[in-house]
Amino acid sequence: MAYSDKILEHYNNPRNVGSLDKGSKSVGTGLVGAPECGDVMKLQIEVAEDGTIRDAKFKTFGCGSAIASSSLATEWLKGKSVDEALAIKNTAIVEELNLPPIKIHCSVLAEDAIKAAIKDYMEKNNIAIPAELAAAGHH
Amino acid sequence: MKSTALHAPDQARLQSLHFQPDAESGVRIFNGPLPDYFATFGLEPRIHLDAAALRETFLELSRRFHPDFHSGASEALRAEVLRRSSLINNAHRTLRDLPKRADYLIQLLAPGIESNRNAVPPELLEEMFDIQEAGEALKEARVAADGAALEAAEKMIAPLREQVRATRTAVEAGLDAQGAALDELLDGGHAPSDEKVVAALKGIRLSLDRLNYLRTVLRNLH
Repeated sequence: MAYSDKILEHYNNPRNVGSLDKGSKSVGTGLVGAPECGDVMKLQIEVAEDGTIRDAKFKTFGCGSAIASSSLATEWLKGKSVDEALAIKNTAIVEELNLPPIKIHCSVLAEDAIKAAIKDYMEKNNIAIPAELAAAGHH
Repeated sequence: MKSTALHAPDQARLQSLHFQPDAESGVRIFNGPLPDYFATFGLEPRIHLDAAALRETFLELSRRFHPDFHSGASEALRAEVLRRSSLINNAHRTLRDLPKRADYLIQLLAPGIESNRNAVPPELLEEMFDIQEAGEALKEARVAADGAALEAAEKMIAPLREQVRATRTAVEAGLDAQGAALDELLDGGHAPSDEKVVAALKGIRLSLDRLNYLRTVLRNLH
């Protein structure tokens, strides 16, 4: 299968690999998996006092597309408000990375990881969870 | 695998599935819709089946539909023989493996039941993630060709690998039992839409998903 240059670029030079302090109140953690292929993805955000995302880290055990999707997601998250982050759609990731149809589920996984991380942050800080987040994955 | 629930292929049924005489010419043609994988071997759709009978029927059908035996036939017939022999191979490859067979059975009986990533327990995901992380140390030591680090990583990985294997064995045993329970319902005439059958199929789907995670982890710990 032919990967786009952008996928390869993120795969070879993944941005923001690592982890943040899971126990910190300002950190939200999302851990999601794809049962179809067994991939697991962890994505974390650190939210500043003013409500913007100061830092984002990820660690993904999976295929190149899953790594590229989560790498791109962390790049996009930095500097965004939580609400703006919630608006990130997997289709935007598909478009940016030019993901082939059979790899679209990798972008869905990244969107789920973002939502799960935000949900975790909101729960920790007693922020009312919006309805569309209620069903988001584990953290 | 249990082989108690036998559904021996019925020869007449096999004949009708694979040889449909053309009404006008009387020549055997096979222009009907392709049967599903179970029906291809004259079997009822079940999780457990008689592996020896499956193999025997596969060999017989393979011979019967081998393209070499039909080289003198018309082009249409040769095309159909090819289509059938490819079906027979695919069906055999799928049905001889329990997880693949279970996956196929779910698609066949209840295509609405799909993998649900929220159904997998979060503890399992966390366990998988932690083990994958430990596996990284092994890879790094290998890349660095660092003997001491490699030995330390191997020491750390060995019990984890055993742990994952033990979990996999437990999930496989669970799948075996779930399969037997489903077969019993189907044997008892319960329809695929029956509440009990749907619940059984969902349970099997979850076991298959868990096996996927465990398999991926084991591959990475290799």
